[in-house]
Amino acid sequence: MTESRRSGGATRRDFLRLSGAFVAVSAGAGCGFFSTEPAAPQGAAGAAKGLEAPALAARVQAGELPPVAERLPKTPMVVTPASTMGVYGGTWRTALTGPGDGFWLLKTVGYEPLLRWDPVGNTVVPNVAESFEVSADGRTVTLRLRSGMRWSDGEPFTADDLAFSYDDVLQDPELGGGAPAWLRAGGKSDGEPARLDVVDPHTVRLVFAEPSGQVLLYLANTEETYDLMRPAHYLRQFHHRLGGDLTALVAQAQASDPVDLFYRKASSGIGDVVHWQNTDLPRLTAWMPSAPFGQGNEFVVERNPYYWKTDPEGSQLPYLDAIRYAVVQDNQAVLQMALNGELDLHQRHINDATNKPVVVDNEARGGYRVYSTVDTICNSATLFFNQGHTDPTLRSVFRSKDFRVGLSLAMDRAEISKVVYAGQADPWQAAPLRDSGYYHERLATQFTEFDLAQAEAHLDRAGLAGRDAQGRRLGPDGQPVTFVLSYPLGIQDAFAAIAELVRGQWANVGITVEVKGLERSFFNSQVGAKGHDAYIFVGQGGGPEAIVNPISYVPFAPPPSSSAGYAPTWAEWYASGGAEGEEPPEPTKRQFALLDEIRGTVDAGRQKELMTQLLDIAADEFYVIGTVLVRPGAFWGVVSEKMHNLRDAEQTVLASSFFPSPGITCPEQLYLTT
Amino acid sequence: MGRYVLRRLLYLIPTIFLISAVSFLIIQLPPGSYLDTVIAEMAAEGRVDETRIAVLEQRYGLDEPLHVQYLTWIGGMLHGDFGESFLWNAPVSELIGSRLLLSVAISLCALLVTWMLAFPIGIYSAVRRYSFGDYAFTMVGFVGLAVPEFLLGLGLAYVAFTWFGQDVGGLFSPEFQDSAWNLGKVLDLLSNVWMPIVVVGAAGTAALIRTLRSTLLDELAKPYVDTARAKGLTERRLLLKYPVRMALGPFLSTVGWVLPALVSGEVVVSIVFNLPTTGPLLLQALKAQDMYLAGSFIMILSLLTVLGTLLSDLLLAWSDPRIRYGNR
Repeated sequence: MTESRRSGGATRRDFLRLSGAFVAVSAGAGCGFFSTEPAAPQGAAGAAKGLEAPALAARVQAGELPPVAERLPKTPMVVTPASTMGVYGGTWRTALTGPGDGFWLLKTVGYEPLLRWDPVGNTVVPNVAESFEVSADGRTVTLRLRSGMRWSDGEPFTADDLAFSYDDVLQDPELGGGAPAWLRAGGKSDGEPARLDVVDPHTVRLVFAEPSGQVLLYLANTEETYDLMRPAHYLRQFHHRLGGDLTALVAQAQASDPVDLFYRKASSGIGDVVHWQNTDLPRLTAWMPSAPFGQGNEFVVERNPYYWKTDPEGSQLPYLDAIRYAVVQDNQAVLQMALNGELDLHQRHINDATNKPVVVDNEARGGYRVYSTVDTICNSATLFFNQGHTDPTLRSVFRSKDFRVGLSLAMDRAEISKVVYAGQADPWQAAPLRDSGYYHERLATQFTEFDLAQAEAHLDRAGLAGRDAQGRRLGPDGQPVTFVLSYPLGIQDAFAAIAELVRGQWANVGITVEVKGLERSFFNSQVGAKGHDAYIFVGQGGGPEAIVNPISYVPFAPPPSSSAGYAPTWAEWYASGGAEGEEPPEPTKRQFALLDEIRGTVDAGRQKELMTQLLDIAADEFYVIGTVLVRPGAFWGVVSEKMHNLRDAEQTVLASSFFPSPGITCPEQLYLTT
Repeated sequence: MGRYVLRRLLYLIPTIFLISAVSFLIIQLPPGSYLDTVIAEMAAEGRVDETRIAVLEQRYGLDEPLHVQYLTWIGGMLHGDFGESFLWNAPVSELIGSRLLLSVAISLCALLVTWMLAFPIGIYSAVRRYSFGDYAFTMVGFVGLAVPEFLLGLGLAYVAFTWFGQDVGGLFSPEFQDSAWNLGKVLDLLSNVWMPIVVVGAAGTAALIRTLRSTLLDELAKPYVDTARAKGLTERRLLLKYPVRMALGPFLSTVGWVLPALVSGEVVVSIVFNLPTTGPLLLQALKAQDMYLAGSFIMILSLLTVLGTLLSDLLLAWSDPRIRYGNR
C-alpha cells in the first residue's frame, strides 16, 4: 500500500518535473532544434544609420579595420539617393543561371568605370576618377584620381595601377590584345596607341597623336575601363616579366604557363567567371565575393569595407550588406522565384512580354512591383540578309535594294505586333530611338507600311518578275528564289513566331523561305563563317550608344558580332584597311569615311552632324529590314516592396548593352526595410 | 561461376576504351566549340569583345589537334584528373562531387518508392487479372508511363503553387533558406523534396508494374504452378516461391541500369524543380560545349552502365541456375 502510494506520488512529481522541463524546452525552442519557425537570418534589414555599417563599426572596435575616415578617400564620391536616405543592412536576393551568366554580375555589382554614364542627363560624369578634362585640341585627356582611395584589401589605388594595367598588361605582347581602337590616334584600330603619362600619384594623362572622339564614352564603360584599373600591387607577382620566377606559382595554380597563371588570378574581365572565383583579387566595387563562385547553390557578394562612396550625410555606402545570387539552371525556375517573392530586384532572364502577365498578376501575393525598362535596342527583331553570300545568285538578289524594299512592304507589321507582342509594339525599321539624340525619321519609318501592290512592283523591279507554275518568283538563274531564314534559339522566343509569320507574309508575294531555329553557338559559328542566308536578331545600338556602336547602320565590324552579318565582306574590307574582303560601293565607303571622322572628332555637336549624314546614307542604302519596336514596358523588372531607391522605378529604367542596368542607377544607394 | 565472372571482367577493358573514344568524339561532333558559346553569350548582350576571345582561345588550347586533346584528357583520367570545366573554371571531379550526394539521395528515395509500390501492385495485378483493381492500376500505370516527366513536374508545381500556396522549387522555402538546421527546416525540406521524388518515381513505377504483371502472367499459366498447388502449398507461399521468383528475371537483368540513373536520372525533374543535382550540370555542359565536363560526365555514366550490367549479369547468374550452368 505504502509502496503503491509512494510510487503514485513519485509519478506525479515526475510528471510535474517533466512538464516543467517540457515548458522550458518549448520556451527555449525559438532558437532550438525543435523549433518549426525559421531561425532569424543574420543581418536583418532596417538597422540604424551611422557613418558606417554596424558590422564594420564592430570590426573597427575589434581592431581589425582602420576607422571609416581612414578607409574613405579624402574626397569620397557623394551619391544622392534617388528618393530617401537609406539605412544599413539587408541582403538583395536575385538569381543567376550559371557560370555563363556573368553579365548579370557585371550589371549588378560590376559597373564601376573610371567615369560613369548618367542616365538622367545623358552625359558622362566622374566616378572612380574625381574629375576629367579634355584639352582644347582633343589630344590630351587628364584624369584626376581620388587621393586616399583604396582597394578592397586596404592598399592605395593610384596612378601606378593605371600605368601597370595599360603598359604592362594591355600592351604586353603576350598578355594583352593591345590598345583598343578608342585608345589609339583618331580612334582607329590602326592608329598609334595613346601614351599614358603618370603626372603625379593621383593624375594620369592620356596623350593621343590624333584626337580620339569617343574616349569619354568608353571611359564610362565598365569592361573597357577594367582593362585600365587592375590592381598592380597584387598582380605584379603573377606577371611574366615583373614577377620573377613563376615556376612554383604556375604549378601551384595548376596553370599551363605564366600567361594562364596571370589570367587565372586577374581574370580577363568582369564578365569572366574567374573574376568572381578569385577572392584574393582586390576590387573597387561596392560588394566583393566572400567565397568563390561555383560552390553550392548560391553566390554571395558582401560589403567592401573600403568602398569610396558616401551618401550626402557622409555615411559610407553601400547600404545593403550583401547580394545573394541563387544559382538556378532554368529561366522558368527564375520566374517561379519571382512569383514567390524571392527576388528583391531582378531584370534579366524572364523580363519579356510573355512572362509579364503572370508576374503582374502575382504582384500582391509576392510582395513586389513590376517596373518598366527601356532596352536601347534599335529594333526588336531585325532581318539581316547576307550581302556577301558566296552563292552569286543569292548575293545579287540580296544586294538589290528593291528586293529588300519589296520584302519590307510585304510584311504586315500590325499582325506581328498583335500575334507576337500582344499589340505592344509599333512598326519600326532598324533606327535610333526617338529620345536617343540620333533619331532619324526617314530611317525609322520608311517602308513600314503594308502595301502588297507596291511590294510586288519593287520585287518585279528587282529582276524577279518571272514566276513558275506555283507562283514562286524566279531568280536571275531561272530557279525559284528560296533561302533559309534562321534565328538563334534561346535568345528570345519571339524570333520563332516572327520567322513563321514573315515566312507566310513573303509567300504571298512569291518569295519562299525555309525557317530554321539554330542552337545559338552553332548559329554564331555559322554567321562567323559567313555561311548564312538571312537571319533574325535584335537590332543593336538604339540608344545614346548608337554613335559608339552604329553596327545596324554601317557595316563596320565583321562577324562574330551577330548584328553584323548583312555585309560581312565589306566589313572585312574596312576592318583590314582594304587588305581583305571586298571593296564596298561608294555610299558605304563614304559612310566609313564619316565613321573615321566621328571617331576623330571631339566636339559633340560636330559628331552629331556627321552621325546624321551617316544615317542619311543608311536610310538610302536600307541594309537591313526592321520589323517592330516594342513599347516601353514590354521589358521590365521586379522590385520588392521592401527595396527602396530604385532610380526612376516609377517611370522607366534604361537598359543598354553599353551602359548596364541596374548598374548605372547606382545599386549602392538601394536599401531594404523590413 | 569463377570463370564466368572473370570473363565478364575481361570484357570490361576494351569496352571502356571504346567508350572513352566514343565519348570524346560525341562531344567534338557538333560544329563550333566552347568559344562559340562565349561569343554567342556576348552577342546576346550586344557586344563582342575580341580581345577577350583571343585570350580565351590561347588559354584553353582549343587550337590543338584532336588526337592531342584526346590523349591529354584520357591520360589525366588514368590518375583521376578529369580535366577542367571551361564554364565553371573548376576541376570536373570537384563539380560533380559536390552535387553527387543530393542526386544519389533523390534517385535512391525515388527508387525505393518505386519498388515499394511496384512490386505489390504488379503481383496483385497479375493474380487478380481483369479485376477492378487491376484495371484501376493499369490505367494509372499507363498514364504514368505516357505523361512526360517534365509535364508531371510542372503540373504538380502548378497545383501546389496555385491551390496550396506552396513555394515550389529549390530545396527550402525562402524563410528557411538562411535558417540554421532545426525541425522546421527538416520538415520544410521534406515538404519540398517529395515532389521530385514522386515525379522521378512515377514513370519507373508504371514500367515496373507492367513488366512484373506480364511476366508473372506467363508464369502463372505454367504447369509447375498447378503441380505446386496440387501438392497443397498455400497460395501465398506458392506465389512467392516459384512464379514471382521466375518473373524477377527481366527485372534483375535491368537492375544494373539503376547505377547510372542514380547519378543522372533526374535531369529534367531537377531543372523543373531547380535542384542542385548533377543532371542540370550535364545538360548545361552539353549546351555550352564545355567539352571536358561533358565528356567526363558521359564517360562516368557509361562506366556506371557497364558496371551495372556486370552486376545484373552476376545477379541473374545467382538467381537462375540455368544461366550459371549454361555458360560454363
